[in-house]
Amino acid sequence: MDKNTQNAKTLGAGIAISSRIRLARNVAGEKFVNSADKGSLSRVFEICAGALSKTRKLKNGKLYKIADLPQNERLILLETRRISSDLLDTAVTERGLFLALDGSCGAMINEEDHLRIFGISKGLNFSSLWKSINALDDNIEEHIEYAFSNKYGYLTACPTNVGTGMRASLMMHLPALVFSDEMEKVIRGINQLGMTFRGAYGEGSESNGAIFQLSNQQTLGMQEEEIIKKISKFGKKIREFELDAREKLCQEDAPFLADKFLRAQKILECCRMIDTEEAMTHLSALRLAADMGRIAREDAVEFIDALILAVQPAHLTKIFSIEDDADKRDIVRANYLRKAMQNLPAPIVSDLIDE
Amino acid sequence: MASEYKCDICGASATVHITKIIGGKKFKVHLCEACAQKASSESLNLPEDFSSNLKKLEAKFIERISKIGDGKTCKMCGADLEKIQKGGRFCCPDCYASMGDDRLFDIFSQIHGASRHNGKYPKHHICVEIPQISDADIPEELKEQLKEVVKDMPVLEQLAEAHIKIKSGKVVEKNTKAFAKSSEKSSPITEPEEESRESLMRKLNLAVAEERYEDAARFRDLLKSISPSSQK
Repeated sequence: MDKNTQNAKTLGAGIAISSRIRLARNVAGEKFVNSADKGSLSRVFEICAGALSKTRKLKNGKLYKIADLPQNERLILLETRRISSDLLDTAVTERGLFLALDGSCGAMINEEDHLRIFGISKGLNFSSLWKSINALDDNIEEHIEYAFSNKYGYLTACPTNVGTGMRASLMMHLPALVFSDEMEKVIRGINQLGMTFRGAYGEGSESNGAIFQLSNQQTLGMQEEEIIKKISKFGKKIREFELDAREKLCQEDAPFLADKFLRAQKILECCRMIDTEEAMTHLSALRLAADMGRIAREDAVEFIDALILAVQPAHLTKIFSIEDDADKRDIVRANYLRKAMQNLPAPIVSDLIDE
Repeated sequence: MASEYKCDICGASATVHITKIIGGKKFKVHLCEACAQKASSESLNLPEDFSSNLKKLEAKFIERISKIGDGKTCKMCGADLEKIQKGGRFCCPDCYASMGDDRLFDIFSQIHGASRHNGKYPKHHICVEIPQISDADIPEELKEQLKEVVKDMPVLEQLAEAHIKIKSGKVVEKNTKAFAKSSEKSSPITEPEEESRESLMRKLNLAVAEERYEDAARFRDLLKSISPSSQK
């Protein structure tokens, strides 16, 4: 994690947004979530919550019972990627989230599996993240007997997770690849090599905000360390592609790039109503400018990341205590962004245009 | 699921919990880390080819066990296995065993391009599965060897004991990563122990396996008197 801070001034350091590792685990002797009755789910909930509360990393954390949370609070957890959309399905009432105080790790209870243990870290940082989650997993296992087979590993509801139960994923910001229409090719290529690579917001190569997610496909037959080595290698490769695409745009399509930056700045400075999708499109362009060192503010990338989160519907609703009304939200979002732009210097484009 | 168990050998806080399923019946053994390591490194001093015969036996029984059941529904929860095979979700941990190795091989090869776990093992709960066996299933040469080793001990218990020593040695190996990786090797690396300690440990483990806890306590006390550092 320290490496990432020291690289903050390195161009392209913002390409890898965050790393996440999750482990799927189930309690021995209990039916999986998809076929368990309420009694079994309750029992599993108590077992898991009890075990999690005894671990070093989570004993000061917070337990959320999803059914008891107001809808907006659930959506906030979804927007910060602490829960998945599956956990929101209220057909199963005995669902929960145990989250560390700093939000860096936790576990979902009774999602698709009894436990989905996870950890999140900024940048491309799988080694130390794995060390941390592995220790948490062992700590939980002191108090729970997992469903495990010596032959097939950790037993899960879906066979796509069996074995290590590990899904490692990397969120990446790849605007230059999208601008240069290279993304389709990259997605196809990566998916053929045994990884899953797709838009994090939206389908295919049209991901809103040019944010994409890379994750491992295979969970059985590989060691955990091999999985994180593979995803780190692929992540670095994709980062290279993005840096090359940025270089190429500057050389061959400079006015196009300048136009994107300036439009983004001006629209956000002037808009009176703006929806999430459009806001993310422009924030993405500015984030690219910042990551290319074209915004004279040291923490420009982090500042823009905070804006990207704040303009999400549930976050906005909470920050400004507004009712759940899309039009009202669009106005509030525009006001918020106009104010924020006062603290963001204009992108430097003089070298990209002839004036 | 509590963590308040005491080691069955020395009474220290137990962090390793071994579940033995023998012929469908569950037995639990709780050990502290030190005793678990020692248990795995003790051998029964069995004849040389006993291990390989035992492994053949194990393979034969696992093959048999995987064929038990109608193959259509899970033995435990009754889930429709054909539906699962066509892309559905498993309904309980036992669906995997009910599905059988052949079908699991097909499913996993397609999804993962692999069919065997190669990652980490749970550190604190070790499961050793011993399928139900009858006298008729044991090869003659093995019966003879067993007669030599333990004259009046039930065959099943003896096999279970030997199996646990080999298996839990293998699992502890993997977890501590202190040994070279080998998925099929079953002989743990050991350091030489004094003969009397070795013999006492063997008797202690046997007593625990047979749930003769008073005998186990007696052997434990004798061990303590030999080496106080055996306590955690």
